[in-house]
Amino acid sequence: MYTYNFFEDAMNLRDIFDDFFTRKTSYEPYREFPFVKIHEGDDRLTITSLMPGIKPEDVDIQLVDDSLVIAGEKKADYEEKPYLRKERFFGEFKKSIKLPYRVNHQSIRADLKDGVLTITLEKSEDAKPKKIEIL
Amino acid sequence: MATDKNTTYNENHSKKVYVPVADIYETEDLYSLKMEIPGVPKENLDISIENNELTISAKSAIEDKADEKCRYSEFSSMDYKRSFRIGNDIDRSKVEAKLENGVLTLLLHKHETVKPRKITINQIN
Repeated sequence: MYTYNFFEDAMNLRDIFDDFFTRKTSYEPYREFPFVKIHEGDDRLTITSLMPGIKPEDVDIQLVDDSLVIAGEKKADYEEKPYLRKERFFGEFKKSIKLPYRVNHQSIRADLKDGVLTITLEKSEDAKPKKIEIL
Repeated sequence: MATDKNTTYNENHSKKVYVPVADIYETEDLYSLKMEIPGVPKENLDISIENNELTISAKSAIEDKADEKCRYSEFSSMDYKRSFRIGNDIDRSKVEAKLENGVLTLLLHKHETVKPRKITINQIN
């Protein structure tokens, strides 16, 4: 005697879908370019972003209120040649990252190396906890 | 050159292996391949041709610092690997590679014998 279990089949179907959607290439269009990663250390934030093929002069980083705005253009390097494959993406981009606290405007540092942008931000003095002495 | 073996997999490896996106064009003299591999320094790049298969594997140098906590992430630290099947028209000894701003450019030159040749006509009176 065999009891048909509907859920078993439903789970199989779910696996098929999960497999389809999680099998990734480095091209993940559902996220907005550029992909970022935010790390937090002691009073320090490090923002890492993947920017292949972008020159430092094509990126504009601004601090607007409590957000960091990364804008720029990835310029197409296509040549007048018959292409067999065109998979790369080009165009303008803008991404705003909300910062968890106020940062020191003077000590912001941005480096672009091997297509990876690293922005280091330090916590502002007035955002740090301050102990108040009782007199 | 147009065929690639597109797979994403974990090779007993802590890092994910991604298939980088590529642009390829062909001219009379060469094939040009451009591939995006951000975070890879020159020394972590390995390009090999074996049995009509061009393999590009690269290790990312982006390391997560131990004293920092990850707050938000849209990508994981990744390694790259992609293979292409190439024909006999490519001269194995004449492959140029250039890495610039996280973009790898490979120039695969064709053999002299397969390049189009202009035949001069001698006029005899």
